[in-house]
This record gives sequence, structure tokens and C-alpha cells, in this order.
Amino acid sequence: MKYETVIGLEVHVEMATETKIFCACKNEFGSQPNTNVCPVCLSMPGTLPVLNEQAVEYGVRAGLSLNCEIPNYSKLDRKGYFYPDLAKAYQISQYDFPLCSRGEVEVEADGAKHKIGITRIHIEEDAGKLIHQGTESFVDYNRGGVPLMEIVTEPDFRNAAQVKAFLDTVRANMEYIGVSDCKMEEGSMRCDINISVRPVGETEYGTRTELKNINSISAAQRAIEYEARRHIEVIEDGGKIVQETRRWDDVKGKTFPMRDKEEAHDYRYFPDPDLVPVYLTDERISKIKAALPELPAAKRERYVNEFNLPEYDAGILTMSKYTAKFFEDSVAIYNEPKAISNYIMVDLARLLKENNMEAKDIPISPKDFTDLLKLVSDGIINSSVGKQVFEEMFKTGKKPAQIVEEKDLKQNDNADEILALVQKIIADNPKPVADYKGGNKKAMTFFVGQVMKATKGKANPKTVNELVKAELDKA
Amino acid sequence: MRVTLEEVERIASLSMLSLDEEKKIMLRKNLDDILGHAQKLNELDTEGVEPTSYILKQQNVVREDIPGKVWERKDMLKNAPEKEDGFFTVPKVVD
Repeated sequence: MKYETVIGLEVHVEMATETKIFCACKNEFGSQPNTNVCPVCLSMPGTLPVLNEQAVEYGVRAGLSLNCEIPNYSKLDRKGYFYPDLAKAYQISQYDFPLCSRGEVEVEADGAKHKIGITRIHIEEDAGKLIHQGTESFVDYNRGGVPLMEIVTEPDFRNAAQVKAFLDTVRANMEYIGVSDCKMEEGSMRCDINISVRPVGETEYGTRTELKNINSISAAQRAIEYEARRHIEVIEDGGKIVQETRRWDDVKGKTFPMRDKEEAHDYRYFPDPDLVPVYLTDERISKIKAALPELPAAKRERYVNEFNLPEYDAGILTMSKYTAKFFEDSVAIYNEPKAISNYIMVDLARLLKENNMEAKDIPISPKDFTDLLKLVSDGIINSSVGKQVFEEMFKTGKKPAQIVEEKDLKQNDNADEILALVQKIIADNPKPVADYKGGNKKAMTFFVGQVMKATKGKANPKTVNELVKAELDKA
Repeated sequence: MRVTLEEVERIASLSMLSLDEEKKIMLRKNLDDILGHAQKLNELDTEGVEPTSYILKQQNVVREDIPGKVWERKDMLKNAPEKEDGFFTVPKVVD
């Protein structure tokens, strides 16, 4: 039997506000334990939460970027659960009136476009961090009270590739609108996966499991593939899927049932009497909407139309606003979009990755970068030397002309000199010459390679090719 | 009585409280009194009154996103029954 996988997501995104959601403690990753805490986020008796207006603004921005409806009225509720990561024994969250409702985004996976429904986005406080050791658990409340939003999707995904595309889209959108850096590795984006399978053609959903502890987008993909396979195997063996929460073990590449907190699903929500409702006027919502920057999807489309770039290029260039800005600034100086795109997608991407850097850390200015491209197109250096200079610029921050000067990398266009070299190499290597004569045209690459080597890669490749061919044909 | 002993036990377990029989009976009575008191509200005529979650007219009470006072960790840990290396410590809890 053929099966179809059905997936829905709950994505938690930590907002990059200066302070926590209900108190003036710093929202900062990586501080010493319990140094960003105060009586409010430690839930001391008698303290009162006051909502951070920026968290509301960020939540609305996020909702608008995912085409959500923004209701005028929204409120905050208490979600009761007893666990030491929350000192109050409840979490301030939103229940029946979330900040954003019904949205939709289009993602592209496997060469097709898919619409993913957003059920809702609500804002809430993050919990503290627990470290389990020996017979104790150590509690750090620095993260307690950090503003979070939870994006809940409809069960609209059918495979891991769509999930990856969606998470990439969310991450890019949040970065563009300045709401979050969405680093799954640092926990600023976290994702729970609801997954079930059903025979193709069936309209009822199968029993689902919820997967937690997904720490990267690739882990999400692997967890989905594993879990879907597990469901199908259980069903094919005549068994039944148990509705439960399972933990993804990234090292073992498997999911394991989590011991459920007893009756943990009875959250007993009720309106938080310490807080008052949030009322957003239509004017306020329109104002936030008008201030949104161009979003990745729109940018992607524009790059295809305006710069005549392939969709693939446009997709990669717009994944980060920093890459997009570097591209746009470069094109503004030097109107060769495809050449610029190639360097960014291949050489820049590789160097960033090798050096463990992000797009926001690009160490080369658009001016120096385009100067390099001009050196190549003007024939001052050849294109393979160009890549070498680019790498040097990346590492040292030097200007391209200076590197070319210092390392003596100027292209050798001296046809007489190259010709002499070609003739000498042909005379010294009778065997490949015979091969060439015997019909092995590939033998030519040997001579080209030898000439390039002798000129330390600086000879004009076009001249070398022409001369090698002419001389071989004469030989 | 509106509240059953089972309900008391369930609420206690959700709150991680273990109660002896005597306490359960006492709390059952307390909770029952509270509910009975709240029940009085049902006697009011609420015809034409819009339902609300709040009794205050206020809305949008917010603060600016500006860091405030930095509190000393040693002060913040002062009330902790158990602490170690700048952490609050609790008996080990597992997921």
C-alpha cells in the first residue's frame, strides 16, 4: 500500500527584543546563569508583569509577513503547568485570542509550489533552562521571560522537503523584519513536529505523534523521514500508532517515547488578571504593515524580473537580507548581475561556510568586490586568478589591485612569449603530440595545462588555447 | 457538595501536592465554599451585559523596550532553598 505523510508544525521563535516580555531584564543569550533575572521573572510574590510593547509590534510584524489576519482584540492567559523551568507554575501565553490568526505562505519544494496554512501566532514568555546532573536539576532563569512567539501551522505538509522550505522561509522572513535571528542551534528557533501517515486517497488523518528536540533544519528532515517510516512499519505489521510525544535523538537518528508529564495536557487556561487586553487599531496595524521591508518572496520575484536571474539564483541570494544587500549594492556599482550572483553563490558562500561565518559578516565591501570583477572583465587578470584574489581579499581585507600588484598576478597577454613557450613544450613532449595527431583531441589539455603551469596560471587562457591548437595542428 | 474528593485529588496532583485525608476533606470544604460564593454571581441579572474577561476598562498597558535595573545574582538567589554555582537547584526532574 502507498502512504502519504501528513505534517503540521509548531515553531517557537525567540524575539530579538532588548528586554524580556514582562520585565526590564536584558534579553541576552549566553550570559552567566541567573544574571538577567529580577523579582518579576523569578515570580516573587507581589510582583506584576508589564507587557513589552516591542514584543507586540514584533509579533504583528511576523504575522503580517506570513499573511496572517491581525485581530483588533487580543489577550494574555495563564497556562498552568508545574515544572521548575517556570517559577510561577504557570506560563503567560495566549489561549483563545492570539495576536495573529489565519495566514498562508507559499513555499517551493521539489520543483512545485505549496500553500501552507498558518493557524495562529501567539506570544508568550519562554521558560528557564534546566541542566540535569547527578541527583539535581540546575535552573537558570535567564531565558525565563524572553519573548517568544509560537507559529502553529495547519497539517499542510506532505514531506520533509516542504518542511525545510517552510522553516527556511520563516527564518528568512524573521531576519528581514528584524524580529529574530532564528538560530536553531542556539535555540532561538525551535520546532515541534506533528506527524501521521495514511493510505493515499484516505481523507481521515491517521494517529499522530509529536516530535520534540529538533535542533536543526536537517534534524527536522531526518526526524520526519524516520518517523514516517516507523509509522508505516507499525501499521504494516498490523500494529497501532500510539498518540504520544517522542524525543528525536540526533545521534542515534531515532525517536523515543517521552515519559509524559502526568496529566500535563490539563493546562487550565484562564485570562491573566495581572494583565489587561491588547487592543490594536486598524491604523496601528496598517502603520506596521507599511513599515515592513521588501520580503524575501517579493525580492526573489523582483530579482528574476529586474536582473533576469534564474529562480535558483534569486532564491539563494534572498535567503538572507545581508546577502541580498551585498548583491544589490554590488549591482548598483557594476551592472553585471549574473557574474555577481555566481561569485556570491559559489565563492562567497564557500568561504563563509569554511570560516564559520554568516552573511552578516561578509568582510568584503561591494566596491572592492566589483573592482575585482572589473579586473577580470578588463582582462587584467584571468578568471581563475580572480577567484584566487577574491579568497585573498576575504582573508586579508586588501584591495584587489593591491593583491594583484603584490603577488604579480597580472594576466600575461604577450603572444610572442606564450608562443615560444608553447613551441618549447610541444618540442619537449613528442608522446602527447603523437596522441593528438592520432586523433586524441583531449591530449590538447595537457599542453594547455603545461603552459598555464609555466606561467603560474597567469597566461591569458584564450590565447593559450588558440596557440596550442594552431601549433599542434602544424606539428 | 459541588466538589468531589476525586476533584480535590486531581487538582492536588496537578499542583504536585500530596495531601493527607484530613487536608483533602478540609480543602474540599474550602473549595466548595469558594464555588458557593462565586455561585451567587449567577443570581445577578446579566441581560444585555457583554461578557468580558476583565473588570478594568484599561487596555494596552505596556512598557518601552529599554533595559532597567540590573539585579545582583546573590540577592536574587537569597530566597532559594537550594542553590549551587549561581544556579537554583531542585531535586532532579526528568522529561
